[in-house]
Amino acid sequence: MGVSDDRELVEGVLAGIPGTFERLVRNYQGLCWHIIFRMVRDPETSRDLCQETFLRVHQKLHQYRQDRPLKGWIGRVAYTIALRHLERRAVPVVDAPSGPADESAVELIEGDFDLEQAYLDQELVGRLHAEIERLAPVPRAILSLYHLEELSIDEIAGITDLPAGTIKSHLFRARIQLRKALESTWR
Amino acid sequence: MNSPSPPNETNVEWVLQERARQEERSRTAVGPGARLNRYRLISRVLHEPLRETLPRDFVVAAPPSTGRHSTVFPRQRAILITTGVGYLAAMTTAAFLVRTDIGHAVTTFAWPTDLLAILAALSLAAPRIVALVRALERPAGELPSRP
Repeated sequence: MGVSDDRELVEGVLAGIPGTFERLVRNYQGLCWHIIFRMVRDPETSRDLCQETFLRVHQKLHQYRQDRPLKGWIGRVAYTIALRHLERRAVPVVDAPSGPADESAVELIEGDFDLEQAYLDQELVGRLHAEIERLAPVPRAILSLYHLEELSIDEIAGITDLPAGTIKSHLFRARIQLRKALESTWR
Repeated sequence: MNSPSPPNETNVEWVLQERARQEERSRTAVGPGARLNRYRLISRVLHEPLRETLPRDFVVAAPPSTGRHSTVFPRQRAILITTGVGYLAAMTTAAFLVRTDIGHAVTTFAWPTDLLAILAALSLAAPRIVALVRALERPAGELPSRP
């Protein structure tokens, strides 16, 4: 979606043109789902929070500044709603800082690793998925935005309101954690 | 910004993670290097669509809670609540009048005729209420006349 498409869409919704809001939802429901479901994990709750996100988007659309990408603005609404939901339930949203322990994780266990064979190994891939689930909600969402939505670090910073350095740190630590899990399964 | 600078002295590891991501995105042929390939597997799995998805009818389901309806439904709800509360209050009062001496005193007074006159004046606004009162006043067995 380009900026001009976004502008047309937003103006259409604000003018009450039938079908435009549905188009907006269709365009951004994937992003919304990736953020919320990755953070909250419960499908039913995630669906409700996605509804809440688009309700909020509809109510606040007149506040959207059209010089910024709509994707980032909607992503931020979704992220904030998911974050508040988790905070209300006292769910820790980030991992406790591990400090120097990460440095030791950089030390390598090399050896052979057949990528294609490993990808076909259901147990290994399942283990990796389980490890992703074990990450805290914020790094989990950041990984999804970076790898699945293919957003840049600046775009993710815009959605999460975190400094770029913090985003990088979350990515770095999370990927090391996942790599360690792989090493303990496949040597 | 997709070429971020590495954090601290973990430069090499960060560069490797980023290289694995780039190679997966561009589907570069798999080369040697266990560490790089582990990160490529991580990137590939993270790039897969999520197993749970939104229902197909999400777009259809979303608008009722978002659009014009949200301003219409509260008004209708308010009317229904007011009507319900009014009905309950009327029924409670009626039960009170029937079961007490006050009720007997009130019912022997000539208020129904007066009330009917007032209601008749409001008949344009509330014709069904007037019709109901007239029907209640009519002796048993008498059929209503056509207007």
